[in-house]
Amino acid sequence: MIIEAVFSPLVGFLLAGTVGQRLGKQASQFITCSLMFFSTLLACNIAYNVIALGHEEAVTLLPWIEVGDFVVNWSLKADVLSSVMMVVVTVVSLCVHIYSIGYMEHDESVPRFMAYLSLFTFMMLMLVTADNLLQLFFGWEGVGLTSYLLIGYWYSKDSANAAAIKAFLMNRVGDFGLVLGFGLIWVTFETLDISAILGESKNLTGNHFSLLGWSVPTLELICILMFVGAMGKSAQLGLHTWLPDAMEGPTPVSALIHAATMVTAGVFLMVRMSPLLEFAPVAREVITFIGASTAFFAGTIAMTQFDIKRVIAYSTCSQLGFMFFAIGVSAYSAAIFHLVTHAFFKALLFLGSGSVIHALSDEQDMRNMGGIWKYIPQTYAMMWIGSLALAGIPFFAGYYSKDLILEATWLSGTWTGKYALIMGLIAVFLTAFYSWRLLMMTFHGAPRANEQVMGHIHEAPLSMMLPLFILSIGSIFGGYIPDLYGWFSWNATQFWHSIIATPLSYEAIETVPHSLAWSATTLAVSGILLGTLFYTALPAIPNMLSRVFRPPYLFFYNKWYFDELYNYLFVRSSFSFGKFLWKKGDGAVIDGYGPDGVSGWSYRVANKASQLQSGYIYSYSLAMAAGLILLSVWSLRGIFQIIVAKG
Amino acid sequence: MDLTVGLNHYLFLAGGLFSIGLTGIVVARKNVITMLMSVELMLLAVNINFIAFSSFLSDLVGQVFVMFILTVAAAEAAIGLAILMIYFRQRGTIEVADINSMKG
Amino acid sequence: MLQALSFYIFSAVTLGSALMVITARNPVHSVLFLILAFFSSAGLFVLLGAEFLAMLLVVVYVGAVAVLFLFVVMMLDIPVPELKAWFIPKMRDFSVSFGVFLSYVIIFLAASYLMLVALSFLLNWGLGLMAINAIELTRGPLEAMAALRDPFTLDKLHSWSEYLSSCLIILIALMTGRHLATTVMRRTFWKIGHDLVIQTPVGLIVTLVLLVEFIVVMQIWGAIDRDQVQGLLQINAEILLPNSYALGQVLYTDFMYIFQISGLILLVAMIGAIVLTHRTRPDSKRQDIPSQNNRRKEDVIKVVKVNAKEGVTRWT
Repeated sequence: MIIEAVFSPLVGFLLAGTVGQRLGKQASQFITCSLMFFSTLLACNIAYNVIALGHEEAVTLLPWIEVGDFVVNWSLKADVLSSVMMVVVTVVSLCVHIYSIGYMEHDESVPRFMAYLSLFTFMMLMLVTADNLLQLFFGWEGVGLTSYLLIGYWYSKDSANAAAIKAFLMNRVGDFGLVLGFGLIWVTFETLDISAILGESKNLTGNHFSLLGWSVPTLELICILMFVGAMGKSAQLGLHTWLPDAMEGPTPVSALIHAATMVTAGVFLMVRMSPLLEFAPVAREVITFIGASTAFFAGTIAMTQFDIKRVIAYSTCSQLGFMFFAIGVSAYSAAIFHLVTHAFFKALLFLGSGSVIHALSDEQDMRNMGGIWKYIPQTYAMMWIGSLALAGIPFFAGYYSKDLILEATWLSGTWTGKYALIMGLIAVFLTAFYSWRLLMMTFHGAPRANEQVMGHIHEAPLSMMLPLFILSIGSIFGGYIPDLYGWFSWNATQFWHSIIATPLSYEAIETVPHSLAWSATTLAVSGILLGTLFYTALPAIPNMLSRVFRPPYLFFYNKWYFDELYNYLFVRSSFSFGKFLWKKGDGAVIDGYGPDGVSGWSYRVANKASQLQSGYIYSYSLAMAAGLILLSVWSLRGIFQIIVAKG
Repeated sequence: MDLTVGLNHYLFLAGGLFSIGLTGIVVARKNVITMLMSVELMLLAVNINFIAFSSFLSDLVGQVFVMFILTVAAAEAAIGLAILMIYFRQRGTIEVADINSMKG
Repeated sequence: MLQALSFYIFSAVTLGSALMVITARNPVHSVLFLILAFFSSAGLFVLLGAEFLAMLLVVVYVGAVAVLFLFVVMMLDIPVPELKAWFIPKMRDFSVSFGVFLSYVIIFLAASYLMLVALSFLLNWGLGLMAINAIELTRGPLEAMAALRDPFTLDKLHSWSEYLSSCLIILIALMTGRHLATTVMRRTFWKIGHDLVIQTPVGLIVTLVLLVEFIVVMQIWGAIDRDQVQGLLQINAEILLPNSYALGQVLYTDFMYIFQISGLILLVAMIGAIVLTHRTRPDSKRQDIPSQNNRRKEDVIKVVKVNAKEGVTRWT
């Protein structure tokens, strides 16, 4: 069953990708969506089997690599973590597939789009069901590839192509660390099988690796390297610049890849290796620090952006930071919980914003929106639900997961944990603030769009609204229900069956003062109020603030100047290096000494050689005489020795 | 002072003669007749060599060989001059510098 | 004593007349000098005890070949050319030109030698190819040639690469030497005149090297153990036979085949010479036997009935 679940999207990709153009738009949409639906049903079934009935499933498909001792097979595993992820991935993917039917109605190569979506889903499923690190890496790279294909879907736009390359390159930088980490794992553990590694890890805590002369604990190094890979994939601080630019792709892409699934692959990896991570406290502190900084940093930027999708993108970045610092304080279960809830409400927000964009005839700048809540009430309601879930208002999904994370940071004794707590609380405030800023600017106030656009405003078709409804259900109940059963909190150990580490016990969580939860909620509510106030009743205040505090405002608005910094440090030098290699290396050396050089050289040599045939007999006889000399020198070798010997 | 003329002296002579003949071909190239005569000089040098060795080694085969060299040299001179004659009929000149139609 | 004196006289005349053969302006003079060279070497032959061959030289070479040369020279009416120096044209002052030439040669040889040393050092030290041993080369060219390794002791690839690379570096060294010498000469002697174009006298260098080699080989003659040398046809030195008699004893017996073949060679040469130079004159009358034999009666005879008292003319 797991095979069908994982491979149905691949079949969809193959069909839509190869014969889709001929079959037509409708047929390819139907094929991919139905296969996706089938996969979703199977995933839910598997999840039920694994979680409720406790039947784990593991299937070996094919042998892959057998080189000496290095044996890797293609195999799929469905345990608790995999099945949770599978459900999330398939449900969100199905919603995005259905949504794309409506959103991409006017596009001319819809089969390609649907094919790419299915391919992405397949890759993501391979990633989460992998039982060895190499197959996980296959899925990892695969989602990076499809992300590139989908961001650059409208390839006639230069900015889309550039954004796609940027995403792929930054992923690559992260992958460098990841591959080093995997290599180190291979060297230390001599296997790439995940369960074997996790079982072995407690025996190798004292292992040290010599890195450039320093002796570092191996497990720490492995975890830090893997985290570098996760940083690239999940857009953490430092390797984050691709995420906002990835909004060049169509909105369904942003919803699927850059909200729910691909960017969470990093989180998934870290949680999957959590038993290993438990033996690497330094690595966890690093993760906490970076995750918390990301959460804060992305929130500050989101306050200032005007593109509706970019605000949501930075919001994703910030929430990913939350997940990572949850991992850093060993709250793996909470991180997954937040991953699941975030998938629902962030996808909801993205698809809702897509609905807004669609309604306003492809307008994305919030400065040209406003006053449309009466015209698109359903979308408006969906956006409210998503934002409430995001802000962490009690009863909605985000509240439970965020609360769990903040409690876990309180419990950790390290200074990075305290730092994370502070940053997390600030981020809660910022999240609420910019979410309501978005809502107010988009839907309320005087309409700033021109009359033609306002005349065309219409609610989205059913194909777009249906996924929104589904996701909103998840956003509302997705937190309450798990919390009821304690799957991620007080029942975590039973739930996870030691697939991931669950060091936090419920008793410890009980010790956290309730004031923490209240303060978080208060911050969220105040953020909501402030956001609402600033952008409806008192629009002058944000203007004045941006003028008075101009340097910080510019700093936040220009994304903390990361792009400029990277451009200066890396991009320019890479370009000039590449140009040098192209002109001098390839052009002068390889072409010069290779094809061009050889042809020119053979021409010159032939020219010179043809001069030997001068037509004059005396030169020929001279050559004969010279040959005679050489021959005599050769045959008289012994004689010269005798002469020399005799003095 | 050793006045006996040994083999060395004859060989030196033959070598010098040979070199002079070679010089006539490759260095001093005025006309074809001169080149043919230089070839004759080279053959003469070889003859001297053979006779000298034959005399000093008491071996008659050197002289027999000289006879045949003589024969062949005469034949070759005749043919060479015949070719030269026809060439002169065609071109009207026997200047070596002009004979380069095989130049590639 | 007398033998030595006559040897020196004869050889001096031979060498001198050989030089004059190639440097004489008038081609008839060069043929005459050739004849003189033949004569003096015939004298040398007599000194060596081969009087029959000396006579043969005079009769065949001088009497036939040289006369043939003379005939051709006269017939072709070769013009006496202007004096052209071999390699330094239009030099007024011979000493200056000779000094220039000498310096050119010295620079060329020195530069080539240095380049060769450098390249061979590179080959020895960098690639381990020891065909030309740089250290031996610094001691002198003879020592370098003595140090040439026997290729059959190495494996094929190794020996090929060694000798190929040494040929290559010799070529490169010579080319650089030539370039260097010509640039130096051009730069330093530009005031002598634009028409100073020094081509490397390769021909001269080749012949000089050949001569040096001959000399070197002759040096060795003293070192060879004479008794070891086995002749093909030993004659008993005590029995003094006339040369003709001795030659006759072997020529028609052991060397019969070669004798006959040389006769055939002469025949072929004769026919060849005739075929090559024969010109058919268009206006000479001669018989054409085949057409004579193929003549048919109908073509040449016509039977005509003649009436009485009418006669017959050509047109009836």
